[in-house]
Amino acid sequence: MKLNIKITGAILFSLLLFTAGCSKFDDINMNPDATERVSASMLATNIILANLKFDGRDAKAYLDENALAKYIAYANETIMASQYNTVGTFGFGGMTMLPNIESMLKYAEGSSMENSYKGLAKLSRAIMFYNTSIRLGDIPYSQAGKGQTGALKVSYDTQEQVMTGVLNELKEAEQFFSQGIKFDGDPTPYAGDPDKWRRATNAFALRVLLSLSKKS
Amino acid sequence: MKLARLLFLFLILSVSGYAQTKIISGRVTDDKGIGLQGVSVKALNSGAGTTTAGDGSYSIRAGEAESLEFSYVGFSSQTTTVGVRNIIDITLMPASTQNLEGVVVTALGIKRQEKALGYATQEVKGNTLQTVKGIDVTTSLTGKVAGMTIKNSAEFMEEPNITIRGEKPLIVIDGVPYGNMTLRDVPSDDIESINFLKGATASALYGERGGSGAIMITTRKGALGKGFTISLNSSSMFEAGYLAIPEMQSKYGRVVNTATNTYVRSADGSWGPPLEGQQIIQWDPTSKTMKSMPYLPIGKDNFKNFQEQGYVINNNLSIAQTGDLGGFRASATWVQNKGTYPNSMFNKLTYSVGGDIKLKKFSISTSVSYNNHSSPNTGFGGYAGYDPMYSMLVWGSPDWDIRQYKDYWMIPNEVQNSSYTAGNNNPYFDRYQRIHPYKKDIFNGQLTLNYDILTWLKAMVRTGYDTYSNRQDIRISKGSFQGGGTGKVMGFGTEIWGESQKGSYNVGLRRGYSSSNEAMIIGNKKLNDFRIDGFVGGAIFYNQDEGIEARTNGGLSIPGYYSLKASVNPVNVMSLIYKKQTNSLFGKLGFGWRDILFLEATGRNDWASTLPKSTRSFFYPSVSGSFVVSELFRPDWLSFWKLRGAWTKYKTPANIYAINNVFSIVNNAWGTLATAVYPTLIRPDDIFAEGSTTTEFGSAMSFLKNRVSLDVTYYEKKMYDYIVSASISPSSGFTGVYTNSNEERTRKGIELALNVTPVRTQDIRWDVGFNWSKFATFYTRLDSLYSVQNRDWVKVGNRSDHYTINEYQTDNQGNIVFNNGVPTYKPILSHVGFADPDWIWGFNTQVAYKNLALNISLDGRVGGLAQSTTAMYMWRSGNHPNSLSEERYLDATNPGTKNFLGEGVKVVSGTIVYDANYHVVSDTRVFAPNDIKTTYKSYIEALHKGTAWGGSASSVDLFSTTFLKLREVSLTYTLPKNMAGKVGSKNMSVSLIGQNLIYWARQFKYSDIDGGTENFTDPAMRFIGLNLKFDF
Repeated sequence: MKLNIKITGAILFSLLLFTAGCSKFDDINMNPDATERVSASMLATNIILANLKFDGRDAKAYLDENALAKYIAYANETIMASQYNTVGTFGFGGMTMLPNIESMLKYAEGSSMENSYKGLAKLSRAIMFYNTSIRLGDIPYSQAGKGQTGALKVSYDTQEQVMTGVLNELKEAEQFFSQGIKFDGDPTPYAGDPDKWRRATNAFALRVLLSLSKKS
Repeated sequence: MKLARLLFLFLILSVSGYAQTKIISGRVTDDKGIGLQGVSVKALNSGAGTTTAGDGSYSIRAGEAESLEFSYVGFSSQTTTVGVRNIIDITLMPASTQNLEGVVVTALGIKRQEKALGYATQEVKGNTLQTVKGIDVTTSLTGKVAGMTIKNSAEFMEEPNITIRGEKPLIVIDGVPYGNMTLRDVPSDDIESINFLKGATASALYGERGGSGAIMITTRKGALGKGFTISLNSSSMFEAGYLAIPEMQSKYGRVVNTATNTYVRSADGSWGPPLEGQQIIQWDPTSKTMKSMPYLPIGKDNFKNFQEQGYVINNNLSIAQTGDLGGFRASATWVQNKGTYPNSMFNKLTYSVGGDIKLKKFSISTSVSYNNHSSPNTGFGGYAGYDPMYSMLVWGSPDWDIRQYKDYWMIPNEVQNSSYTAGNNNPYFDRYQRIHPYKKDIFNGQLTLNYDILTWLKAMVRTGYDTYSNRQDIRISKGSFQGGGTGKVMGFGTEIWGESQKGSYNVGLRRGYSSSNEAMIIGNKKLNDFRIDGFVGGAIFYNQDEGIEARTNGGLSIPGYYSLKASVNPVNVMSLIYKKQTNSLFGKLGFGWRDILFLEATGRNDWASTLPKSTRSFFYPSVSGSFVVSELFRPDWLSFWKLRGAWTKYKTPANIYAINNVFSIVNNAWGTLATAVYPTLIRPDDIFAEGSTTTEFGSAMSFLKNRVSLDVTYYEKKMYDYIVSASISPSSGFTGVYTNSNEERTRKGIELALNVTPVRTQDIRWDVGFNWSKFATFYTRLDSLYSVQNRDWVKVGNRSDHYTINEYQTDNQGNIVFNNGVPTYKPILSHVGFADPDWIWGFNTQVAYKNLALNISLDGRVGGLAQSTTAMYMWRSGNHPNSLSEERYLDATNPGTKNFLGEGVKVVSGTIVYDANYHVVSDTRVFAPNDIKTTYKSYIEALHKGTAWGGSASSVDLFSTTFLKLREVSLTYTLPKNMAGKVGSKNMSVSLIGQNLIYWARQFKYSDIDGGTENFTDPAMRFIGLNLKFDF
C-alpha cells in the first residue's frame, strides 16, 4: 500500500514538473542575443546604406555605370564588362527595403523627428523604385512589400505608373523634409540635416525628369 | 530504514537456504561431446561459484531451489534448477556471431529478447574493436553494420561521419541520450557492446532525437569473470606509406620576367618556362637575397619532403572487479596521433569509472567519464582555408626546394623567408606561425536506479548529464600572406579572414551542457500462454550552448604579441546562446503468445520549446510485430526463422530560435553607426513539426545449427511537412517564408547481413560476415508553391540527390563549342548523375587456429559523384602531372605565341535560346570546325572551372566516388597460459595490426575519397603496428 502511494506521488510530482516546465518554454525560446525591438535611427542607417553604398569587392563597382554610358573607358587587368554592354541581370532584391521603411515609420511615430523620417521614407522608396524600374521596365510598385499580410505574388504596374508614383513621392518627401528637424542615424556627410536632404530630393527629382525626357 | 529491513530479510533467507544444501557435481561439454575447461558455474541465489576442470567436470554446493547458471565465452549460457538431482551434466551450444537467442539492449536501455523485436537491429561486440585501435572507434565500425555509412576523412583530426540509412543517428551511452557526446569520446576498451537500432522504428521511444536511428553503447562495468583484473591494452601504429597523395609536374617553373631575367614572386602557379638549367635571378633562402641561379626542378618532391612520419598510439589501463553484489571498473586511455604535416599532434585522454550493484530488489548502475582533447595546431583545411597544399601543389612551382626553407624567418615575427612575396606562405612558417590550437574538456555521467516493486512491476529512474568546454585560438603571425580563411574559433562563429601581412589573434570559448532525466514504471507478466509487458514514463531533456569569440582587428600592434590587447583597431566580439527543452510522456504495451507471436504498440507525446504555443505538443505512435516461424515449422536445416514488421510515425520540431522574428544588428556598419535590418524571412506563427512515417519488413533466418544466418530488411520512410525557407519574390518585401511545405519525399532501402561459419572444429574456426545495403530518396509529392519549379529533374518518382552542373556547350553531334579558341559552357544546368552512392558494402572474416587468429575487414561504396577540388586547381595552376603537352612547351619557349588548337566547333552565325524551364526554344546556330589557336593555359583555364568560391564543377573534374579499402588486418597470437604466467599475467596476446592498408578508387587516384568530399584533403596514411594485451 505504501508503495502505491509512493508511486502515485512520484507520477503526480513528475506531472507537476511538466506543467511547470511548459510555462517556462517561452522563456527558453527567447534568444537574449537577438532583439525584436530596435529604433528608427538604426533602421534609417540601414535604409540609407542600402540605397547609397556601392556594393562591390572593389571601387570598380562605382565606375561601372559610367562605363556603360561610355563616359569613361577602363583598361587595367581585365576589361570592364559594362564597356561592352554586358549588363548581366538585375532583380527585385532592393524591395526588401520596404518592411524596414514601414518599421522605421512605426518607431518614429510621435517622436519629434517624425517628419524627417517620413521624408527619408518617401525619398528612399523613390530612389529604389526608380533604380529598379529604369533597369527592368514594368515592375510591381503599388502592391509591393506587403508580404507579411500574405501578398506573396505581387501584380505588376507599368513603368509609367511607377515613374509617376516616384515623382509624387519625391514631392511628398520634399514637403516632409521642409518641416523636419535634424534626425539621428544618418551615415552620409549630411549628418541628418533636413535642409540638405531636401536639396538632395529636389536634385534627384530633376535627375528622374531628365532621364524621362524625350530625346530630340 | 527500509533497506536495513531488506538486508535482514536477505540474511535470514540465505542462511535458511544454506541449511538445506547438497553437493552437486557433473560435467560440462560442448556440442561435440568434448569437455570444456573454464566454464563458469554460478549459483544465482546464493552467489557461490566455481569453474570446470580440464575435462569439464565441476562440483558445487547448492540447495534444491537453487538455479545454476553455466556460462562460457563463445557459447550460449544455460540456466537450470537443481531440483532432486545430484548429478547435472550440461551441453553448451556455441553462440553464433549473430545474437539470435540472446538478449539485446534496446531503446531506453531496456533489455529485450531479440526474437521479440519487430524492428531491425545489429550488434557489434566490444572485444572485436579492441585489437586494431585507431584514433576513433568509429573507423573500426566501417562496414560492420548493414545500412550504416561511415565516411572517414583523411583530414587531420576530423571525426568520421556516421549515418544510418542516410541520417545522423542518436548516440546513447548506457541508456542516456547525451547531447554533447560523440563516438570520439568513448574509448574502444570501455565498450562492452554496441547495438545499432536502425530507422525510426527502433528509436520511437527516444522522441524526435532518435528518429534517425540510435547507436546504443553499453560500457563495461566490471571484470569479465569473477574477481579482480588489471588489464593493459597497448597499440602503436606507424605510418607506412600513403594510400593517396597528390603528385605535381616537374617540367615547368613559374613565370619569368624576361626583361629583368627575374622570376616573379607572386603566387601564380607554374605557367613559366621549362626548368632546363638556364641562369635566372631567383630567391636564395640561405643568403636571403635575390641571386642568379640555375633554373632547375629542385622542388619536385617538395610535398613528399614536407610530410613527416605519422603515428597513432592508443594505450589503455583498466582495473576491474566483479563480486557478488556487482562490479566496478576504472579505466584510463591515452591516444596520441601525429599527423603527416609538421606541428600536427592530437592528444586524447579519457578517464572513466563505472559500476553496478545488485541488492535483491534494488539495483544501481552508474558511469562517469572525463575526456580531454588537445592539439597545438589543428590546421586550416580546404582551398578557402589555404591548406599547405595551396602553396606547394597548386599556386607554387617546383623551382624552390622546401628543405632549404626550414629557417623561415627573415625578421622574426615580422617577415618570413619565402620565395614568394604574396599568396604562398613558406609551408614551415605556415604550420608553426599560422596556427589553430584547440582544447576541449567533456564530462559526462549517469545514474540509474531500479527498484522491483512487485515480481512483475519495476520502477526505474535515470538521470544523465554532460557538459563540455571548448577553447580555440587562431594566431597568425605578422608577415603571413594569408589570413585565417574559412577558419573559425567557435562553432557558428565568424570566419577569420583577417588582413594578411598584419597578423591577428582570435580566441573563442564555447561551452554547454545537456541534462536528460527519465522515470518509468515497467511491467512484465506471464498469463498462461500469453506474456504482457509494457511501460509508462516521462522524460525531460534540456540543453544549452553558449559561446563568446573575440578577434583582433587591423593587425597586431607589437609583432609576436598574441593578445586581444594587441589589436590595432577595436576588437570584434560576438556572443551566442542556444537553449532548448523537450518534455515527454510515453508508453508501450506489448503482447506475446507463447514464443511465437509478438505484437507491440508505443505512443509518445512531446512538448518542444522551439515551436509556437499552438503547435508545441505533438504525438506519434508506432506498431510492430514479429512472428517466429521456426517455432511451428522446424526442419533439420532451419535453426531459426523470424518474420518482422513495423510501422512508425515520428515528428521533429523546428530548430532552436527558428520561429523567432528578430532584427539583425550590425555594429559599426558605418563609422560608429549601427544598423538594424528587418528580417527578410516571413515567420508565420503556425509552423508545426515535420513528420515522417516508416514502414519496415524483415526476416531473420539461420540454418545448419546457426552456421549460416541471414537478415534481410526492406524499409520505406515517407518524410513530409518539411519546414523550409521557401524562396519568394522580393517584390513582397521578403526573400523567403518559413513554412511547412507540402512536398513529400520517400526513402526506400534494402539491407542485408549475412554471417557464415564455414569451418568449425576443435582447432579451427572460420567466420565470414557480409553487409550490404542500398537506399535512395525519391520525390513522391511536390508542393506547387514551395518546391523547386521548372526543373526537369525535380519530378515525382525521381531521386532527390540529383547532381547538376553546367555542361560544355555542344553542337548536335556532341562536339564542344569553342569561342576564341576556348570551350564554352551552357548557361543552363543539366542533370548529370546522383550525389549519393548506389550501394555500400562491408566484408569481414576471422580465422582462428589454436592460438592464432587472423582478422580481415574490407569495405567500400559504389556510385556517387563528387568534384575534385585539388585536381581542378592543379590544372588551373599548371601543376597537374598530365598537363605536359607539346603545345604547352611551344607556348612556354616562344612567349607570345598561341599553339593550342581545340578539337571542336565554333559558331559562325545564329544563337541558341533557352526558356525559363531550361528547354531549348530555338537553335539557329551554324557551325564550322574550330580554327582559332589559343595558349594551352587559356584552354585549360576554360576547361577546368575553379569552384572554391562557388559555382558548379566542370564535367572533367567530376568523378565517381566508387572505392574500396582494406580497412583493418590483425594477426593475433595468444600466448599459452604458462608463458603468460611467467610475467604474472592471466592472459597475454601479441598482435600485428594494420589500418587503412589498401585503397582502390575508380577515379580518385590522388586523394582519398573515403570522406565523401575532396577539398585539399590531407594525404591518407597507411598504418602498421603492434598491439599488446595483458590481463593481470
